[in-house]
Amino acid sequence: MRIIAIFFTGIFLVSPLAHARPVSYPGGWTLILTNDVIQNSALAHYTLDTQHSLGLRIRHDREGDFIFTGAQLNRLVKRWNTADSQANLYARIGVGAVSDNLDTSEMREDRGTDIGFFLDTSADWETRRYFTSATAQYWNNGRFGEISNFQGRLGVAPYIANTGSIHTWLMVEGRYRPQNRNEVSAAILLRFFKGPALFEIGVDDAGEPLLNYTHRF
Amino acid sequence: MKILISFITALMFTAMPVNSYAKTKKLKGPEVVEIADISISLSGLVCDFCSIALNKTFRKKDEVKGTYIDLDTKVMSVALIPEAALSNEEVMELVKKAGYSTLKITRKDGTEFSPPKT
Repeated sequence: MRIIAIFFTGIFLVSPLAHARPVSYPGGWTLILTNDVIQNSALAHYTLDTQHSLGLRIRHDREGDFIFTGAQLNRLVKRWNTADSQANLYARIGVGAVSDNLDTSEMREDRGTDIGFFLDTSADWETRRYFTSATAQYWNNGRFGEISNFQGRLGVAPYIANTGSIHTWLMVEGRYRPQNRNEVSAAILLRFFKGPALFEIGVDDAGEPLLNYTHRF
Repeated sequence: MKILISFITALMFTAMPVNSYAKTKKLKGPEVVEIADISISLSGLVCDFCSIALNKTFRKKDEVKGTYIDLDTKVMSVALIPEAALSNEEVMELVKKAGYSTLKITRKDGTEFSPPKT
């Protein structure tokens, strides 16, 4: 537990976190870190070809207090390029081990380890001014239960930045997570984007922070 | 867990030197526009991640001396090493490999090529 805490704390301090396209260019590495009230997640993936990337995913479910560790395959199902916009449809699948995040100070039985998997589909559309995305996820965590997650985002760039400049986005995010204590929630966030680094910082309607970071190598 | 953390750390450290080497080897600034042999008008170009994908894909080619992408004009400038050449088909294939589409290819001598719309 301590190692995991140090890992994610380091992630928070060294870098911000992120939502980014799950398939990059062939041969490219991407690190995606996501932290909010329900999870801390890290994904490192390698893009195999124009449509597929394969990665390692570690996710700590903060409400269920368990950890998923496994492989994740991302597929770019379809991309639509136009002169001023880009739209994408993605599918993801992951399989791995789900283990209890039992701390030695906790007075409860270890729930052990089980096999888990998840399915995810998402779509996005963006121009240099506007951004929108939608995601649906299903997690089967074995004995740790099932999770569904639906979320959407809208964003606007207050100014249009050119290559190499800092790009800034104002975004709102809505979430529906039927198995969570707060089924419906919303968040506002700022996205900063420069070169290979994308950082997001925000707060949800319960006052909980949201930090994401993506880096393309 | 230690193995996983070691894997991710090793992954990051192995990727970075390759990246640094590529950066020192190829031109990447706006000066490329002045010496460009090929200018490519692109579609789907909306952010810096798009630029990275295209730059890295092109810079892997031995024929390429440097690249630069202007998001405002949506034009990628490609400078080639002396005596090297990239055909229109190769250019379009590299753009497609990076995940984007070619609208027009303009050569230094003024010749233009627009791929047929699919």
